[in-house]
Amino acid sequence: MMREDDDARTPANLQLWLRMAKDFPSEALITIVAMIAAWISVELVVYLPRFLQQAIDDHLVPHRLEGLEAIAFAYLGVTLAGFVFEFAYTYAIGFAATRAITKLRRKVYSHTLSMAQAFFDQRPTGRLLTRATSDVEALGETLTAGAFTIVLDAILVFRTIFAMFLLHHRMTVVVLLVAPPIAIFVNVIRKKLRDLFGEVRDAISVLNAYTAERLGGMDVVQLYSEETRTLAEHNRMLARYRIGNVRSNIWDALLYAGIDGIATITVALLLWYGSGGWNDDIVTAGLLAMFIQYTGQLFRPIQEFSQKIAVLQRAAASLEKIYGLLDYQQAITPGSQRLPQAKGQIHLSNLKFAYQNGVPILNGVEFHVQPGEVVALVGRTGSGKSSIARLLTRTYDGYEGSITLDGLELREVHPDDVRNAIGMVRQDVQLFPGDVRFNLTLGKKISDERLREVIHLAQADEAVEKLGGLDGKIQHQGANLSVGEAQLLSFARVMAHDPPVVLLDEATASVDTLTETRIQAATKVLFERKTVLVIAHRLSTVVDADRIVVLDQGKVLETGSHHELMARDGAWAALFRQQFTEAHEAGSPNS
Amino acid sequence: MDWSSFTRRYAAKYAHWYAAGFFALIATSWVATTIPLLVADAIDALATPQANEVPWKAVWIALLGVFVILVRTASRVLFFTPGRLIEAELRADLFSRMLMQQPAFLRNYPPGDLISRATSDIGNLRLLAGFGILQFINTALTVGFVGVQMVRISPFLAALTSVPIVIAFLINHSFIRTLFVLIQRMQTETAAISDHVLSSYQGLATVQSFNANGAFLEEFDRKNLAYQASSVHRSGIRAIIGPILGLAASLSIIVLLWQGAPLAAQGKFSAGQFVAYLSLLGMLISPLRATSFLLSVAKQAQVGLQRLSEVMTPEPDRPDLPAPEPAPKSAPKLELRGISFAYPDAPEVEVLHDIHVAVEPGQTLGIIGPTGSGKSTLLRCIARLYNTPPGSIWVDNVDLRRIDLSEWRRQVSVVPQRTFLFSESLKENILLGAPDDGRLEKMLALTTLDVDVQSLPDGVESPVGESGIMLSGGQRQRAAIARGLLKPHHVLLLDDVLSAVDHATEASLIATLRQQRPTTLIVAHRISAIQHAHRILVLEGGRVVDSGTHEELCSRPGFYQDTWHHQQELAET
Repeated sequence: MMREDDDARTPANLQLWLRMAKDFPSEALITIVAMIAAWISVELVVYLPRFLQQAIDDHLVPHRLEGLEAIAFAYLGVTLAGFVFEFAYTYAIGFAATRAITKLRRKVYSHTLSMAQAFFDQRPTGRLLTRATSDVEALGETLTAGAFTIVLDAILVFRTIFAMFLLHHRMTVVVLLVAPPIAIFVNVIRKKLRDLFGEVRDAISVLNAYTAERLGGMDVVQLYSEETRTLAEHNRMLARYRIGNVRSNIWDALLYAGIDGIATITVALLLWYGSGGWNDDIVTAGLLAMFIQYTGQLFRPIQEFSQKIAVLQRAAASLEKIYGLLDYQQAITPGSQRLPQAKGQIHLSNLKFAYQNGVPILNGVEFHVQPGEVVALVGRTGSGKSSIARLLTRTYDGYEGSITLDGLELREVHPDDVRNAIGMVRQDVQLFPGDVRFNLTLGKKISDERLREVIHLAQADEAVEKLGGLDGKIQHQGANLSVGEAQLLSFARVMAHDPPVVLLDEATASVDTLTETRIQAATKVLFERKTVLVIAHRLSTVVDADRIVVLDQGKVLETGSHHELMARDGAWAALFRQQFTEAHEAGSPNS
Repeated sequence: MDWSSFTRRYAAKYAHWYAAGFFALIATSWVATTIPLLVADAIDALATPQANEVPWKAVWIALLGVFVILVRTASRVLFFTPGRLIEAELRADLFSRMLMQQPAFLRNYPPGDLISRATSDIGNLRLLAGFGILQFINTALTVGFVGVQMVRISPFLAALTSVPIVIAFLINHSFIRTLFVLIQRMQTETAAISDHVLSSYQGLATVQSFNANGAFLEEFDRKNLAYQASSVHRSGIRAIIGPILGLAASLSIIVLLWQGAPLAAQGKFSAGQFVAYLSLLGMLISPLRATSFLLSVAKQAQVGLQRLSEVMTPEPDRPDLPAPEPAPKSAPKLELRGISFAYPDAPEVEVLHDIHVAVEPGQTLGIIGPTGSGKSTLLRCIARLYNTPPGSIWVDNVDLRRIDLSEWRRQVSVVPQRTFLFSESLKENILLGAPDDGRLEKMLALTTLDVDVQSLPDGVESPVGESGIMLSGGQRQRAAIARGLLKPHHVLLLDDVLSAVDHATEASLIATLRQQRPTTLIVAHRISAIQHAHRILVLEGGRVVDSGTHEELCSRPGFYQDTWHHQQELAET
């Protein structure tokens, strides 16, 4: 099992954010312009209390009304300007972030689609899904709403302190007296919250993964009477989530209320100073009012700090994971030779291959298939049949020796051309939510007539009719079809795409014998001039093949037609006899 | 489930938390709105002979500041905690309910949908039960106290300054309503993106091997761009609702300057009161902003409650009787007396029609038939994953529907055609529902998994990955067979699983079954898997078209004879 964060390498630092800016330059530019607008709006906000001071000291206290209108108008002007700037920069940042996020999501998705199968073997689909959805989402949420306001907050805090300092040095020092206790207070709680938020994130992801899996396999849970144990396990995970949340609430509340209280204490300190408590310096009511306003401005951002930091942390974690995924290259070697019209001649020589765990699967396999030939691959589990199919379809990479298609080394041919040349009917049928038509064409332009024709050839008329024809909807993973029916559709799909090489991997394992025979008859005509490679457990289905390749432990034991191999009386003959004699013995009527 | 039953079932038990929180909140709001007046008082005293009292007033204000820390913390903890506890309880109840539901129900609610109910819908209820109630009371108290203090300073100014605030509140409110409609649309759009991404990842091998990346990317772009459009719209709304109340407060200040100054000239309005007014106006902004959100949260919670009731209210479709019959303690006689069946989501398509058959204790029934003839459905009915009409299935002459369902499930072992493995170790998967009594090794050998286990990194302890991705299709199916055989059972249902094994393994598995002698139903395409059965049913289009022993069926023309001849021919080539 891999750790949850296996794709994350470096801690998300400035470099990753800069890298994102480099990836989306126009959005970064918009953001920079917006930040300048934001700065201007901060300047305006910082200037506002000065009008109030003037109003109090020059007009309200001495009861002088003339000139007050001018101040009110100036205040109105600055306020409206501030509003316009705030609207503009908030919108611009949201706009840029949204566009960047949309592009990033596409990048993650298209990157993942191009990865080799081995990449998927190591990562649960659920986690990869999270990268393209909630991780990108968390990042977007932060960028549009949270991340930049933290910069703005910092600017606001420093600008406010600066403005205060220009007005009155000593009162500013009085306000700053509370800075060290606040710094310690915020820092202690921030650390607590960081750990707790991390714990909660972890707990919820484990809980959701577990819940989703058990809901998906509910049949099994119920059929094996596992309800009680499953609920207990679920509730254990839920408790971890709940406890983490309750604890983080307490610290969060303390931070929020603490800043509130400290702001009040600061105001008390200002009053104490203003009344001559220090140095007999008595300040004007207006100046005091202004400092009280500034104090409010100073503390509001700090109060929201913990929420913002939590959002930012989550975004940083997401950014790490996203770039971790984007940096992970496990695509198959992209060959460059084009082969648009393959004939389908396949040649394997001294082919060796091992999966990532290092256990060798193929130890020098040799055989060749010509267009128009049907070659069967047989052998026990682990003999390497399926691995050969995976290498041929370029879903796995890193073989030694040679596989050629029309004389070209497979790894040097453009993968698109290889895939267009080789069609495969898999044992695990993969169907997609959508209509029957899309499931057959997968986006390729194929006429409805042709589709109906192949549906008929694949004996799938009845199944398609039940769904409601070509427009009939197929549910997620073909849930509304029986396994056999799904296999028939999968067969029809390859027929519709009509590739020069056809790979059948246990293609009709769940189809009844008579239907299977009819499909075989159809394929004989349809695949007459094609290169056909059949992988089968049921030896009976391959006796008609032009040649049978018997594999054992990654090596070819023998090759030949059924009759040749029976005559030779080697491994095939033994396998064949064993299968059928034992079947006959087992089949003797019960006594 | 409506609000009153939600309150009774989940919220009522936290009444004392809420009551305590309520008092803490009253104290908080009262003190918080009193402080500006004390400050105003102190400022006004500066210019008077009472200036020497100001330091004492400052000390008093500071003490109130400390008090605010305590009561505000308490009020937030007292309200938020019940929200979290209710959330957890709802989630546990939802999941335990799903554990009771039958496949017919779950087919309508895929895992992703249920997860979204468990997270976002319950989350909305939690927000209402914690944050929502707190904000509601807080806003009422703050607006109330602030209003009282403002009126105490000057009723005239209070009325005048409230005009911009009220207008801004209404504008803000309508924007927030639009925002929440938008957010709901975005949730649907996100779900569409997720579904698309998930299904293309799950079918990746096919997507790649048919070079269909382009088609899938195109579909993705459509969904992704639709989401982008909504998201940009959302940014616009947010850009308005963020600053609009602040703008209103500033306008109120201008009104205050404009109308307050003449009053000040008459000595009816002091500088200190002006400062107090500024603070009070500032206090209104955040509760008013929160109120609009609160109304939307309430609406979301209402939707959430509906969506939860939708899945939590329906009684599990398990017609357990008040006094259910016990399940058989040994291999029972199994009888189908005219069973007809259609899936609940497609009631017009009859999948099984009037099937009669009896299987004596410990005997085996083979079932064969073309693809889509109803074989798997028949086994699902016997496993009672679906409810069948009363009187259609009998176990030792007791109607299956009268037997305790949980007990029945403990007697039946099913190996379904679609294998489902959990992302645990191979061992844990195989021992699901069975004691670890040392039979594992034997079963691994019997299903020839012992050979496969050697090539797994940690042997039988190796994790099999999500839905068993680390295993081949055949290995998964053999693991499922091992799991089914290890589970103690008196009835065994095998749904076309023997095709995953070679003939030799098939033969030894069948030999083992004959020793154990459970009442067995085997669906198969390969006649070798069922020819030993005491009786074989041939199904076509949901009807029994023929039945008998292997010899009988071979001797008369039909599907069975054709299949047999065909498989024989191959064998004798």
